[in-house]
Amino acid sequence: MAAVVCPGDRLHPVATHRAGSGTYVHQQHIHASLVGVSHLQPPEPGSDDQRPVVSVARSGAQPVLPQLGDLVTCKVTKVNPRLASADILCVGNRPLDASFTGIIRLQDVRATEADKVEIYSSFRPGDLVRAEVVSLGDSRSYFLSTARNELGVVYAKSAAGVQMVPISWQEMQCPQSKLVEKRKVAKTA
Amino acid sequence: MQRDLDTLLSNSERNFILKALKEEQRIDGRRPFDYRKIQYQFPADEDGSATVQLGATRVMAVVTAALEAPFPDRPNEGSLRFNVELSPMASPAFEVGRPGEAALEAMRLLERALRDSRAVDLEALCVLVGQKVWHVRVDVHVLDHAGNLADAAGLAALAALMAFRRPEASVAPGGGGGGGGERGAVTLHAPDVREPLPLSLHHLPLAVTFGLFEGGEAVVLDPSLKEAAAAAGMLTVIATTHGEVCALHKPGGIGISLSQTMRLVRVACAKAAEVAEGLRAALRGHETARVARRVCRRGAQGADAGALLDDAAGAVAVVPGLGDPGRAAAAAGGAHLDALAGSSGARNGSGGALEPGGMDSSDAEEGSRTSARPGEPRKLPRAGLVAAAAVVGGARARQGPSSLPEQAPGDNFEAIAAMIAGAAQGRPHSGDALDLQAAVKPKSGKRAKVRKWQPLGT
Amino acid sequence: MEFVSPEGLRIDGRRPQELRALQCKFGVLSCCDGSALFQAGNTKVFAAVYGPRVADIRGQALHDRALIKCEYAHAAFSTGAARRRRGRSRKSTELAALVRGALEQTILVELLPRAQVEVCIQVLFADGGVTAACINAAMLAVADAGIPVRDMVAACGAGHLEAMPLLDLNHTEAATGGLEVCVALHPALDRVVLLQADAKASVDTLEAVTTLALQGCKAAAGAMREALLQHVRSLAARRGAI
Repeated sequence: MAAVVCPGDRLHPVATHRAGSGTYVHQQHIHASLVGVSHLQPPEPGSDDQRPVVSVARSGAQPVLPQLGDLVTCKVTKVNPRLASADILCVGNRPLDASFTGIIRLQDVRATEADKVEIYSSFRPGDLVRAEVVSLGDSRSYFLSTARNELGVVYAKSAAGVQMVPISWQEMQCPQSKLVEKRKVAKTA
Repeated sequence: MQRDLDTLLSNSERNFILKALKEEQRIDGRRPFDYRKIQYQFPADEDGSATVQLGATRVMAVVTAALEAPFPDRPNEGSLRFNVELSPMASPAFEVGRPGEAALEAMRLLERALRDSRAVDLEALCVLVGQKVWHVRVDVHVLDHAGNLADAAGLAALAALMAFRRPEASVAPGGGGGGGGERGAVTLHAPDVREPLPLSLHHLPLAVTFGLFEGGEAVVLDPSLKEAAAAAGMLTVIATTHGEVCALHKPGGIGISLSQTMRLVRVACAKAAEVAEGLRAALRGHETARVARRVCRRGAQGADAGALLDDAAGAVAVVPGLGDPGRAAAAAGGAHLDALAGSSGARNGSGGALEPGGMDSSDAEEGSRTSARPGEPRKLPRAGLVAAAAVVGGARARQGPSSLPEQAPGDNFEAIAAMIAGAAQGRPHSGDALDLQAAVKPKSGKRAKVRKWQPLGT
Repeated sequence: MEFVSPEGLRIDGRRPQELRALQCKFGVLSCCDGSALFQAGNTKVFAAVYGPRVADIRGQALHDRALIKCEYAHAAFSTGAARRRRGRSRKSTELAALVRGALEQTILVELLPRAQVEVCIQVLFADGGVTAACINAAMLAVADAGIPVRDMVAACGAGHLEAMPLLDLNHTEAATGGLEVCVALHPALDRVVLLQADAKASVDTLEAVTTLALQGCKAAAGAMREALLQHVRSLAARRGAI
């Protein structure tokens, strides 16, 4: 059903439908909270709740905020012995207009041997890192984690200024100078 | 909502307050539409200051006035300015420095209540059109913030404005080539010379604030600090005692239905009338105390039971027992003041109405004083004085025992005090008034004699 | 000067209970997340929304909800006689606070923790009903930015002149100093979010004028809604979503 709705419009009663994104529930009714096209998604067969999901999708601008559990792409700005600070550039597939700050703490860099981590051997300023949001963090920044195989550095430049090639989950090599540098590399298979 | 230290409330406290409100209970035991206890304090030696205590909230307001040139686009009106100081001693959320939004909001509410609704008569503040008008400034200081600053500040400002007395200014009729000064020189009389005048207020606007909770269903009047922190919105109604609304202020906050709003407006009008009654009673007490203090001062000075009398039309004091110099002074002063009597009689704000039927000081507060006995002879002989005193004494007895604290030994003093309060001016204090008179209309001969006269007790 | 002629026409030719012509445009500014231009008669207001973004002052960010910031400015030529204004005046702070109050009730702030939504309002021409126009423009800009809202918020003013309630006063009518009321309403929920009334009036007059203003709000909400729907339909058609 492709009808354009306005915020505040009453869509369906809660008894027969479930509220999806772009809607909210008020007094047993589902109301739209965005201006956009409303979609009705049929329920998955075999799931407990057989109500279809109503959602309103906005074509055009959409506000993007990193939520808990999102996979984000960020660029490391500074490192110190306790943490690496990074600017979040993309949330999932959507780029952000203004960057948010995130930090990767020492204990969140990797899953194994978390107490023997050295930040400088895992990240360097300027690296592009794929990470997961584990907490909304303190007032200054989100808390990110790279403690999975597929998370970590995806792009790094060597001291010579050339993009490095990953050789293992801990090392990357510069094709020009053949020097090996240590990073926490993401497994992008 | 900006994060303020006085809006932080733990979830348990918030839930407790909301749950109690569902049963129409408030955490301090009041009913939903009850005010906290209101207390007024007027300092003994100042005429334009008031401190109001609304529960634990304390606000002090001070009124000052200066005689200056008017604004160019309003040459015949005085001005009224407000300033609200949220000092850090009132609450940890207030900071020193530029007034924040809360101070600005309070200031705007005061302006809307007292200036935009034309509660204070600004045209009566004009002394000389285009040249001299009174600029009144009200400074409100919040001393302790325990919730509902809007109401307390409004009350304090109103009480201070009603208690304020401005010195009487007279304009010399220029021309005739007499005075050396420019045409229409303005003379400010000291409070001992002429009784200072109150401001004239058309109506009494009072702020009544409601706290709105949850879905706009639960409403409380006069929210305390914790209730305000738990509230989802506030509505302030500025109402007069006659059932009119001067302003409505609901800056955001949870939405309520129109019928609910109107119901609250009506409740506010009723509450405003109640609070105004309390204010008037407090001002009456203050007025009586003020008069008694003046009598005590004068009585202490007088060698001969200094009975000072003026009549409402505004001539001069008789100091019996002083003999000729006094009479001469009286005559000289009287001749001069006579010229002003016409103008002062015409203007609102000369002495209080003194009728044999009794003194009604509440009239004084309303500001509509009229001259009651225009035709009275200027000097009352002593016998007449006693008779008048007896009349007034009888009137006061009829009014009921008024508490004149301490002094005033003897009935006569009380009666005399009453007459003074009702009458317009005090006796001419040598130094000030006579110098001023000289500046306006210099005379010879008698002037010299008058200057040698030693006034009582200064 | 009479404000309502014997035929029942006001000085600008409207009926006593007639709104001025409303116009809404979207996406007028390119660098912000959402923008709108709202025009009611001659009153013209721009609004731009930046957000949700990281809070400028980190200490002000709230842990469970968004921070709404509002800036108000009016052009020097907005009120007939050009007057230079330096920095922030009290009036701009007051108006900004009113718009912020209305938006805080409208935007679903719990969905955007730690974020900041900044609304900038610029008045190009002020011909009465400025507060209402600012709130309407801000609402349209917020909807254009795609920020989730509880309901539309529509504002309208009304006044009382010559013993008659008049809807949507223009500058000349408002300058007389009579009763002027500004109401902001959530039309679908039927709740009054913002209510400002000035000048002395009896309770019954106030009630009549406020009821009239509420009806004006509903009419304005309808017009804003139509404009929004048309804009989004054209956007969706261009992207092939419909």
